[in-house]
Amino acid sequence: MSNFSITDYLRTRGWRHISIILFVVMMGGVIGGIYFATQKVEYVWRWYRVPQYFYYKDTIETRAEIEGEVASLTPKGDQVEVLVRGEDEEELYQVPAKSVRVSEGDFVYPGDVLGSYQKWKVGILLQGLWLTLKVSILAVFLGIIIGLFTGLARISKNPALRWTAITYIELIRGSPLLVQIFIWYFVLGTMFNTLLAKQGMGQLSPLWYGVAALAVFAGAYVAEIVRAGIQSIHRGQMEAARSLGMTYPQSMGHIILPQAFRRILPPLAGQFISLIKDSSLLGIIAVRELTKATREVVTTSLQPFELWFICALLYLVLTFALSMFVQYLERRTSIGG
Amino acid sequence: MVKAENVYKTFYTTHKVEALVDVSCQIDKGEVVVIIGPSGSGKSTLLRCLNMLEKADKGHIYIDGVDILDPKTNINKVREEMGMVFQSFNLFAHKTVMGNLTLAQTVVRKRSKKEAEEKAIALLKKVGIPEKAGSFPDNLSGGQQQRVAIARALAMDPKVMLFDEPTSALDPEMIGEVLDVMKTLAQEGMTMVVVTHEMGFAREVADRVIFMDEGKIVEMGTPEHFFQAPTHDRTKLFLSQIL
Repeated sequence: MSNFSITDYLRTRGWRHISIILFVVMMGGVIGGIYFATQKVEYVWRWYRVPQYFYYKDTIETRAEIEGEVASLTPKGDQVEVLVRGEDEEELYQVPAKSVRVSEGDFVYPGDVLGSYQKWKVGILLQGLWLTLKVSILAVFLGIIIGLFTGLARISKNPALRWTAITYIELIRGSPLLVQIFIWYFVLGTMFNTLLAKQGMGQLSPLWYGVAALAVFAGAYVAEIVRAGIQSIHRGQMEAARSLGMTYPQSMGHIILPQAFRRILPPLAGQFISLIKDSSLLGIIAVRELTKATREVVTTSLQPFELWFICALLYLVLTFALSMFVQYLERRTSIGG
Repeated sequence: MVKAENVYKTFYTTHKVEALVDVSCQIDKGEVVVIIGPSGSGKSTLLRCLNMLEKADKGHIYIDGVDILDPKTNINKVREEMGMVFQSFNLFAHKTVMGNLTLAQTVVRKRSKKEAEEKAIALLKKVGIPEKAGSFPDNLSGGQQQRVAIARALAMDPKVMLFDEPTSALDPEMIGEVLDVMKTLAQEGMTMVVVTHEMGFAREVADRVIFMDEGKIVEMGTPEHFFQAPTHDRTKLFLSQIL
C-alpha cells in the first residue's frame, strides 16, 4: 500500500467520490440560490400556514332558530340539552357542556349562539388531491379499455374497424389536449346536457366531461402502445395457437395479450404518468382538482411560493406511487417469477 | 386422409413469387410422407396450406374429406385434428411446459384440468422429459423445446401431424433426440407429413418421398426409388449436391 498514490486513488474510487460530492454541492447550490433570491425580494416564508389547507379544525356554532326563553339546561353526559321555549313553539338543542353560552331564563333571538364545538375538516388541497386521484384513476381505467379495443381494431383485417381506429388515433393525437377539453365541455357537454334537460333529466357535471376528455386522449396513445406490443410478439406464437385449433380471440386472450402486456407495461406507465399530470388542465372547466385548488388557495393566502412547491410535490407523490406500482407489476409478471 | 388438388399459391411481396403451381398430392391414413427440395421450392408453403396457416389461392384441399378452402368450413375444427410442429418451436413463452401442453386441451377440447395434466405427463414421458413439466421454455435446450412442441401437438389427439423442418434450428447433437421421437410416432402408425432436410430420416422412415422445386412437385415415390433410381435430372442434381 506504500506506493498507492493520489493518481491511483483518482483512477479507482476517487472520481466516484468527487462526483457524489459535486452532486450534493449542486443540489445545495440550487436550493440555497432560490432561498437567497427569495430573501433578496423580501419574500416571507410561512410554511406553518400550509398544513391548514390539508386538515383544519373548524368551529361549528349551534344557533337558536326561534325566538324565546331558555327554559331548561339538562346535562347529559358531556352534552347539555338546551330547551328554548317560544310563544307557541319550543326546540331542543344539544351542545357540548363546556361551550354553553346561555343560562336558564335568558331570552334568545334567532341566530344567537347557544354553544359551539370543533371538528376536523379536510382542507381544500387534500380535496383537490383526492379529485385529481379520482379523475386519474377513472381516466386510466377507461383509457385502458378504449386503448385495448382500438389497438385490436387497429390491426384488424376488417377495413371498417381499422380505418375507424386510425381516424380516431390521428384526430386525437393531432390536436392539443387543451382544445379537446374545451370541445368536450363547451361543445359536446353543452349539447349533451341540453339534450338531457329536454328529456327532463339531470345534468352531467364537468368532472365527467373532464374524465371523458382525458380517457379518450389517453386511449389513442394506449392504442398505439397496444398495437406495437401485439406486433412485437413473434407471429409464430399466433400460428402455434391457431394450429392447435384455438380461435383468434382465444389465441389473443391466452397467448398474445398476456405476453404483450408484459412488454407494454413501461410505456403504458409513462403514458399514465402523463395523464396524471395532464389532469391539471381540468381546472379550466371548473373541476377543482389539485392545480385549481392550489390556485384558489394562493389567491386567498398570498403564499404562492410554498403552495406551488407543495402542489408540484403532491403530483410527484402520485406519479411516483404509480411508477412504483408498475415496477411491482413488472416484477410480478416477469417470466418464471 | 389429406388430398391436395391443383393448388396454387402466389405471394406478392417485393415481387411476385409463385410458391405453389398446380400442386396435387395425396397422403393416406398411416402414411409417412417426407417432402424435400431446395429452399424456396414451396415445400413449407404446401405444408402451411394444409392447415390454412397460408390460404391457397386456387384448388382444393381435403382433410378427412372436408374441403378446407370452402368458406363454409370451420377451419378451427379441422385444425383440432391436425398437429403442427414448427422450425422455431413456437412454445408459449409465458407458460410452463405443463401450461403449454394443457392450454389447448382445456380451451379447445374442453377437458378438465386433471384430465389434461394426466395426458400431458404421459406425453412428456413419451418424449423423454417428464422432469421438465414445471420449467419455462426459455430454460430448455432446443431439442427439449422441440420435443415439448411435439407433445403439445399430440395432446390434442390429432389424426395428422405436420412437421415444418423440425430439426433445422437445432444444434447437431440434438437432432437425434427429436428424430427418435418422430420415428416412434411413425412406428405407432401416425399419419405424418414432414418437410425436412434429414435424408437419413427420409430414407429410413418415409413411406413416400415428394421432391419439389420452384413450386411444383417434380418427383414422387418410395425412398428406394427416390434415392437409388431418380428419374428427373433436377432430382439427380439435388441429390448429388446434398448426399
